[in-house]
Amino acid sequence: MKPLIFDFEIERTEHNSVVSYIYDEQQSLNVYQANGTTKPFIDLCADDLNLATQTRVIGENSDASFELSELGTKTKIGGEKEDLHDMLLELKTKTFSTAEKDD
Amino acid sequence: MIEILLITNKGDITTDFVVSKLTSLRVAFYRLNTEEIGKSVQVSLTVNNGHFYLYDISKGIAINLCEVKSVYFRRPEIHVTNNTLTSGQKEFIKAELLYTLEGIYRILGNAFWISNVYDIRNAENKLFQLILAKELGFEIPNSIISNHPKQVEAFYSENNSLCIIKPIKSGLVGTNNEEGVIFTSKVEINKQNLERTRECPIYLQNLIEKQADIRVTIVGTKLFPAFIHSQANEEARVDWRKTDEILEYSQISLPLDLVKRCQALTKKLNLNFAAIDFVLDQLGNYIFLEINPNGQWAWIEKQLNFKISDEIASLLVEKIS
Repeated sequence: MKPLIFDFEIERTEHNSVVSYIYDEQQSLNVYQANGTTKPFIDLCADDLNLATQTRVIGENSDASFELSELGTKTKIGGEKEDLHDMLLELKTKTFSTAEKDD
Repeated sequence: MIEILLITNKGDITTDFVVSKLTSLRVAFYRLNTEEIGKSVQVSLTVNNGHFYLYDISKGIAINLCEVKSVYFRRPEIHVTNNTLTSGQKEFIKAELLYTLEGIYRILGNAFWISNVYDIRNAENKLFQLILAKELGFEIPNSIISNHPKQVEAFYSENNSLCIIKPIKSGLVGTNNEEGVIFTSKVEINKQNLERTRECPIYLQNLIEKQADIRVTIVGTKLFPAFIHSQANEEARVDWRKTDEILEYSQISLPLDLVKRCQALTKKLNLNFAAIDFVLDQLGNYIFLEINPNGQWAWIEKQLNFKISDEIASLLVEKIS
């Protein structure tokens, strides 16, 4: 018999990757590349994001990269670039994560 | 000399905000990404002479743990990726790394922490939180954790058959973050599913008709209260974290007695950071749901231009001055 609580389990979905970012050892934070320059991910601006949606950025297929996965075909916010940026950050910093992960 | 230590992992974007503030303040700090222990980070802890050091090979620096005065504790992770090891050996290495890390936490025991890892762990139990909140005078939902079918049925009936179910610990299912997740959901208890409450206790609360959800982030004694317009989004009505869409947020002022209770709660739990969730009901009551002793905050800082990262950085710096 399946415990009742699992009736409410939903799969965490992976969407198409839009932006990749990579940890910068020297700056001690995550960065991405846009227009030939490297910027902190938290400073991601709408124009950079627009560029990033056209050409994937650094770190793909690298162990050190972290793909930011959302949007793709699931996005409900259309072409609002400011919203797009907010959404990327919100999903990355709002969602579940374990306090102390050991695997 | 490095006196501020940030304990987390590389992918923790939230810590990036604090890094950015500390960098702009030109304060020396070290971000210990714990998954790097065994890779670019080496430890040397010699008890006899009190020589407790971290060595970051990629940066070419040494950190004397005895000189650390402020610690920001976020999301340490341990990864064992050596594929030449058996799974048992990997588990062994993982435990060795974790216990080394625990030793480091002990060495840092006299530093100022946001927040101390042992206080965070102590505060995490949701049942304990509700008991404490009730003692401090917060309004709390009708709540039961039970695997006693008759008690579950009675609770459900007493609450007009309008209840929510939520995880007792965390919503994550499985060891992998991507496997599954359980959000707070409206539940129907009936004769068919009642027996399925025996194996695993369930956590039920009465369903509260909301005006909104309220997220109060606290750093030190400073509060950052946010009104989450969750009722405008169908998917977010019961659990505002459920939707992938951007919700609307507003800054709000809390009643003074509620502010004092929030401060009293974090003080009681010895937390220098917390994110407290309330429901604002239709009558204007703030109903305590839970306190997240190491909760997420970066998105709400961005949404409402809160100065949470400034406050965290200020507290860390204040303790080294």
